[in-house]
Amino acid sequence: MSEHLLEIKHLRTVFRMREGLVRAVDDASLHVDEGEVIGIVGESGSGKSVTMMSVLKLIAMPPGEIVGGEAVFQGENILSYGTKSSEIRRVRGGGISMIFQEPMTSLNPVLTVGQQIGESVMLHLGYSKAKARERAIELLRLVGIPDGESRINYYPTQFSGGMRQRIMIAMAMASNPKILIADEATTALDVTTQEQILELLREIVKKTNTALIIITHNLSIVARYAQRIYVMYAGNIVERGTSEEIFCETSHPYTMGLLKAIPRLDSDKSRRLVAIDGLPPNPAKKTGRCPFSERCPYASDRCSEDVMPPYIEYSPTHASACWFRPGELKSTRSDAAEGVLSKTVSSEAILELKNVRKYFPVFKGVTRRKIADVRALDDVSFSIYKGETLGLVGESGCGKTTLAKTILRLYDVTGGSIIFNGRDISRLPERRLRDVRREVQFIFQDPFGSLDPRQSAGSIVGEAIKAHGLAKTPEEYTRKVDELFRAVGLDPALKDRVPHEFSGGQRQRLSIASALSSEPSFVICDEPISALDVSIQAQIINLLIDLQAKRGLTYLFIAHDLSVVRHISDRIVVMYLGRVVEISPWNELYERPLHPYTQALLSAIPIPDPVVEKGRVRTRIEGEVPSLINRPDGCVFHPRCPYATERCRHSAPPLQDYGNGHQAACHKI
Amino acid sequence: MNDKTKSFFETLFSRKLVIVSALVILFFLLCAVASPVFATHDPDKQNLAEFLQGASSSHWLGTDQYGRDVYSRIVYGTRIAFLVGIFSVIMSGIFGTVLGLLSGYFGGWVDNVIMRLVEAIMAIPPLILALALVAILGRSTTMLTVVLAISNIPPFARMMRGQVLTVRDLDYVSASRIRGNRSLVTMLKHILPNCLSPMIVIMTQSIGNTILSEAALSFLGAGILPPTASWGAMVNDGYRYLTTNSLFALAPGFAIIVLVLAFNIFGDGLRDALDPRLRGAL
Repeated sequence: MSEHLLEIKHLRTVFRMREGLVRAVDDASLHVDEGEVIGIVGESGSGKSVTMMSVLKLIAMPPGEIVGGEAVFQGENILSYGTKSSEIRRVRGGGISMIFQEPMTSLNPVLTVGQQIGESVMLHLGYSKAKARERAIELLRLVGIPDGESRINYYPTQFSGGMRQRIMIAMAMASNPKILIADEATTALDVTTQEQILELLREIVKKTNTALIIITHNLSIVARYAQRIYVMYAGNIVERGTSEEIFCETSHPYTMGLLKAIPRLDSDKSRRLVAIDGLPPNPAKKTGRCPFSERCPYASDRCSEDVMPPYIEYSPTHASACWFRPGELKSTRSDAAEGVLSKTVSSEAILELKNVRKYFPVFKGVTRRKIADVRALDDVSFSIYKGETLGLVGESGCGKTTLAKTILRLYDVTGGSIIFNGRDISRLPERRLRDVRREVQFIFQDPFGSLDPRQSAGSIVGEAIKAHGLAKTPEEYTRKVDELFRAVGLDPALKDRVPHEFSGGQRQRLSIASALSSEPSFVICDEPISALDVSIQAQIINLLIDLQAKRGLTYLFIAHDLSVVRHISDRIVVMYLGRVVEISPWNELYERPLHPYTQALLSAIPIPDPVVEKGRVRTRIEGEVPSLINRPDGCVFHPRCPYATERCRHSAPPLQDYGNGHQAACHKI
Repeated sequence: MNDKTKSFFETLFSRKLVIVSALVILFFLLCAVASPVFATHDPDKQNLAEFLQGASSSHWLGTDQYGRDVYSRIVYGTRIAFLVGIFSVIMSGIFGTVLGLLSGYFGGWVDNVIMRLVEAIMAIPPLILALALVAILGRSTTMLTVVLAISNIPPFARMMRGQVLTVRDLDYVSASRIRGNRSLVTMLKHILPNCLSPMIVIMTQSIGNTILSEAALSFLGAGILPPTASWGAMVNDGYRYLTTNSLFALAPGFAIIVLVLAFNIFGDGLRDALDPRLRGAL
């Protein structure tokens, strides 16, 4: 039986918290074989990380406790080892090693990378100092960092985020582990860097015959890289199978819901996203029955039984924990997928940006002498028409948020003009901005930081009504606030609660309600869904689309995720290092991307379908987004561009029109 | 009581020492409010026939050099301690908070002017500053309160400024500007309430220190005017008779130690309970 490299059987981990017993992992069984790549997918709180942390005995005990199950690794039950025993320490980092999400904080800043990699080598392989150094250089070469001999003496701060994640991988591979766990290892990285790191991981495990466990919330990543997938929900593994089985013969309603809820690069755009209703359950309130039943559109009487449904086995690899087979599922709720999106876009510009520049001065020394400018925005020009949604995409440092804050006049403009409804607002003093503030609103990325923790929900939503005197009487004020609550799908009875009593999705709804309270005509959405769980994202996107239709709003929708932007936008602007590189109607951009950067960005996005994935031709680019301080001369993209010529190094290409409102800035088109 | 306040009190009183210190403070406060009830004699009534007596059933802690009852004077001394301690801290707290808020929110030249002023006050040792101010402004309980308040402004102003600087750039403050609020509304509604917790903590802790400063000034003869009972002045009177009647100096000294310690411990407990990081861990 025990021929698998690692087999976890009926693992149960609980946390004894103040609010009760939290069943973080509830009877989870999974296995990995040598050289295999598996994925564990789930939303936050689904228990995907806790499962692997339990196996390595890395959870905090107390409050955590492993109450049942075993984990057999190379013939031994490692769960029986003591938390601090030398056996478990040999497994950790030795037999099984792990890379984490945050490359910025997981390396010690006061030690050189050589010392940190060497430490791991000396500990697990018992090498001498000189030999450890050699091995460290070899490892750096393995993870694609050239000139290891000199780089080994660098400190972590001298590396970029992607490079640090490579170093983390080098450290994890230092002891020749049998299993490598990547816990959301690429979530914090840019799309193009993410792709590089995942490719690297795949190559390394193939070369060394190491098993790789990818833990992620992103279904598309596992579609591209994993051979087998486990889908977790509220501590249970609800479906397992090979990636073809999961994506093509989806059996569990939760997996189906997830697949329908994410916009895809190749999907029909007029299709409304099917959101999964409700919120993930509080693991402290689990009843023992199917945890998904409350949100399941197919739930029937049988699902309210007080037992977890057993697995139905479809094939030796494919099983789903549901009472029903896919054919037997009958929807008890009306399918929300009806309604084709339609809207009217006028030809009148609501906002025009003309050569907008925003430089941040860099000072140095005691005299605070100005030594340089960071050009966060460099000659940005485009227009947004009334009623449309303009998507703005780009990786970190491209100036997306700076642009938003400049339009909102939270930053002063260095040069150029911002024309809103025919009036140049770029140099208006703060006190004359008040009517502009009423018209232009903003939805923040982080629903946890953008709501004042000490204000009640009602007062947050009603704030702008008061600030602009939009309600004559207290009754009118209350009525307006209640209306806003209902408009974003919240119960007005929750008005007296403070933000931390709401979930992430609800808080984002509050944030939207508060943005709409001054009855704006133009709303800037700065990555409004990227901090939310997958099943909640679709709810928020649908809400934004509905509100646009009802209130005739114009959106500037900022995101780094091209598939989401494609779903919601009419036109798309692509930015790179403070410059606009391409502007295009959405369909043109995806069918005929002109700029090499756009092409690379598109191909870096995985599609949650292994069959489509295998047939895709991919443009890959090297390197990472450089720092704005060392901005390249000429075309800002030339150091990473596969087609760069001498001309690109010296002269910056202007935006040129290629018909149909499709513009791009490249010498080579 | 909602969950938040409940968890606040649970954390606050999870340490026995904090409960004890709270009880001590309450007890002294009671003494101050109801001094006549607790005192056995008129604190200012001289009775030269009974001077410098030791502890007895009629004079629990003996008498001083004028024959006044030491116990009753200590009871009445709590009034001065609390009056000066609490009022001067409230004054410096208010001034410090306002200065720090303006300085942190507006930055630039406002910040420069306020902070240089604060640094100028800080450059002089607080006790020396207080002595100098008393010398200029004269001696009275009100003056003493004001003087101690002025010398206490710098730490409050700097603390507040630091808090404002961290809160000012948070999203919800930008949100308030975007929603169209005036600077004043943003400052009072969103910044101030989110900066107050640490201010309350250091205010509690400085009450103890201010009581100590009042005692020190009175000890040096620059504080409360006799014959009003003040612990510092009593220690000053008493230490000359340490060999004949040691209780006369030791008893008020002990009262100072206990009350100051109680305020400091309570302040620590308050900090633990208000610190959101610690509370989140529960």
